[in-house]
Amino acid sequence: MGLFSKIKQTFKKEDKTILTYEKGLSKTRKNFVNKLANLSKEYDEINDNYFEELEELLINADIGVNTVINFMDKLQLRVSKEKITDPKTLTEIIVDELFIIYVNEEILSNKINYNSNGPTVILFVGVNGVGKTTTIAKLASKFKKEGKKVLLVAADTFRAGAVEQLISWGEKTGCEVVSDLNTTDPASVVYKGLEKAVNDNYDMVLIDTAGRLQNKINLMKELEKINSVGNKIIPKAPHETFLVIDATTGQNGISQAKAFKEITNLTGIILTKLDGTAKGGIVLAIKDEVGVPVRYIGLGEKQEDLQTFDIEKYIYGLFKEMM
Amino acid sequence: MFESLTEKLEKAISKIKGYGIITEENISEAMRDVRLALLEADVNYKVVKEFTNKVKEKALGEEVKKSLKPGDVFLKILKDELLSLLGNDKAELSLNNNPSIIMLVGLQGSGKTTTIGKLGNLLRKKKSKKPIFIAADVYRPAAIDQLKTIGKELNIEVYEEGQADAVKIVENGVNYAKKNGYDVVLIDTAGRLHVDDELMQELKNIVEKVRPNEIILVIDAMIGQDAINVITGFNDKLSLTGTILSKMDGDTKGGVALSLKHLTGVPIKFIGTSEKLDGLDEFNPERMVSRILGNGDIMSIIEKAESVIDEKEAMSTVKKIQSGKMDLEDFLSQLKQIKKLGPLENLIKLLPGARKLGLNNISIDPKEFTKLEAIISSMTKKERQHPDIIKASRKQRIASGSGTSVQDVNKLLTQFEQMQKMMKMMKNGNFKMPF
Repeated sequence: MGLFSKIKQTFKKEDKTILTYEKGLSKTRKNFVNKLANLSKEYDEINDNYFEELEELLINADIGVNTVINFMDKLQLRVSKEKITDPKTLTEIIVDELFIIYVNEEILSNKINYNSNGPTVILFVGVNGVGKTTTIAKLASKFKKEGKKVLLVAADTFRAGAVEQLISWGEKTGCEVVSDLNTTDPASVVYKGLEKAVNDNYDMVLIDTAGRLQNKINLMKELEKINSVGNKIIPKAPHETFLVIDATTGQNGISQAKAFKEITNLTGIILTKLDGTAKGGIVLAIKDEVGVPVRYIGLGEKQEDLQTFDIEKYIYGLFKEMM
Repeated sequence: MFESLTEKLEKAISKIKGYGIITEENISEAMRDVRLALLEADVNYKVVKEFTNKVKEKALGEEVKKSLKPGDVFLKILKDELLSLLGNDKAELSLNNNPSIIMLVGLQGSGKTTTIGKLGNLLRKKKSKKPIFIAADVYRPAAIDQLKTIGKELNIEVYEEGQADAVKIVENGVNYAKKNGYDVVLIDTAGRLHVDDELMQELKNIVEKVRPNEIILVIDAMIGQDAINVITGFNDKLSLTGTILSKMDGDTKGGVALSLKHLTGVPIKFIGTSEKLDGLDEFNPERMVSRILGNGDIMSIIEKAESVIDEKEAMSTVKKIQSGKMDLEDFLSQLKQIKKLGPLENLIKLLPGARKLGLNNISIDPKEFTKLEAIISSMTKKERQHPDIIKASRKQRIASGSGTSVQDVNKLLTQFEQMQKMMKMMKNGNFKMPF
């Protein structure tokens, strides 16, 4: 069964989450889909110009340059091998191949790796301004709704107003926040937070860290220290480390994923701000080149706009109007 | 920034030089490399296409064929075309009104609030202005706190009314500024999507009420191909007067810099170069092109030095560097001054030919400075003047004296040696033509 028929089947039932996906992605999708649809209408046969325009589309979606080039090679090979001449058939193959790049024969699970023996610790990392603190608030309220006892740790001791921002989210979501405005050492705040989490039997600990550009060695060293504190108090902590990436990010996303993966045990990407016109295609390249999957995507400002990532839905959202 | 772009451009240039003659075939090959490099730097797809076509066309022109040094001509073409993408002129801020009103807008997380602080600091220091900030981000929790903290640090007043109506706040703030003799008003607005009609209308309302002299879009330099949508989105609704590229100190390839002036006509006015509150530089197209092509930017180094060190000292530093006669003694006294210059790696990258000498990837932990100081302080005067006499036993002594290890001492010595090597090259004038 082709991917299209497969996902069509999956989504025949009315599904609320898809609606949010569609709504959030509608702006993202519009341009891309229109162009791809035009592409198959414009061309009666597949030729070099067709491929060039397709390449432009994919690069404009920020799907990494290397990934696109490899993808184009593969596609061209398949076209000549299977003697495909109709652009309409090709559209389905394009989606199929994109899907294959992302999944790469792995079994991807979006379930949180819960700690069966004590608090589950999640560390949030990323460059400046990607939306770490807001994302933490959204996830905190999600966990809270599931009946979990959630602790937030304000380990961004650098940015002015960062601690206050998390405290204000703590009040809104009804979660306790551990902070210390008198220290500039984030590792000590994390230590304090984890101690409290153990003593007061918390289920979840979400650690907010300062935004740092991945080429700032001293800040990356600081992160290394934060990362290693966890294990001293709670075995195997942090259990999950999420890199938060802004959907408008271009090729730099790959370098971010690589650098943060070197320092921490990166277990997933959270792609934020996907409700604008950005397509966030860089996540395909990150999965392809760095091997880190997307776990959640942010489709709006509201708490319920943070959704578990599903590659099928993502691609479906991008290509819906063509099917 | 731009390192990998520079590297690839240099490769393409040296290939052409190697051929000695430009043919359709080798220029096509070189342009393929250039094209990939630009795409990987997030330069807009259309701009890349135009740029490569234009360079190719020019390179195959009659004059180039006649030239004895096609490599140099090719380089000149690249330089001219890059410059025309960036716009030939420096774009100045309009500061003639009293007060001049500058409004910063942008997506969430692009760095508006930090940039406001930097801009206020810069206008006060370099233009002798008396700025005030207006906190009009009434949506993001603690955004006002953030601006207040920055204001406190810089000793610049912040006008705020808490989470009230943004348009009212700005109106009241501007009146307050007029009454209290402020000559520049900097407005911090909430981050928003260019497709969020409701919030874009809020900005339009502010513009109608106070008629800002400058409406500046702050853009994260890491932005990808979506840049064009964001910029046109804001520009169509607000008629931007300029942009500021933030986070240019990351390892971003900053392709947006090469795309946006060309595609929208909106000039880049400043770039953000560090997390510190003095990390904002005026954007200078010519210097940027020089950096992209690996020729460094010695002017920016000197200007930076000038702003934190007095002129006499700056001159002697430059002279020492240029003469290639610098010993560890000078190194120590300069370490102390250099500390004032902010992250050293940012400066090193500006040195002509830095990448070729492998200096572009040097990264220096500020704590390393303290270590270096300790090591040099543990050396005798003679050792500082003639580092080459430092052998095993001396290293041992220096290490234990400074509380470091022999490896640390070795590291310092090799780094110093590298520096000297580079300075010698500069002295020999090699830096003028690093290709």
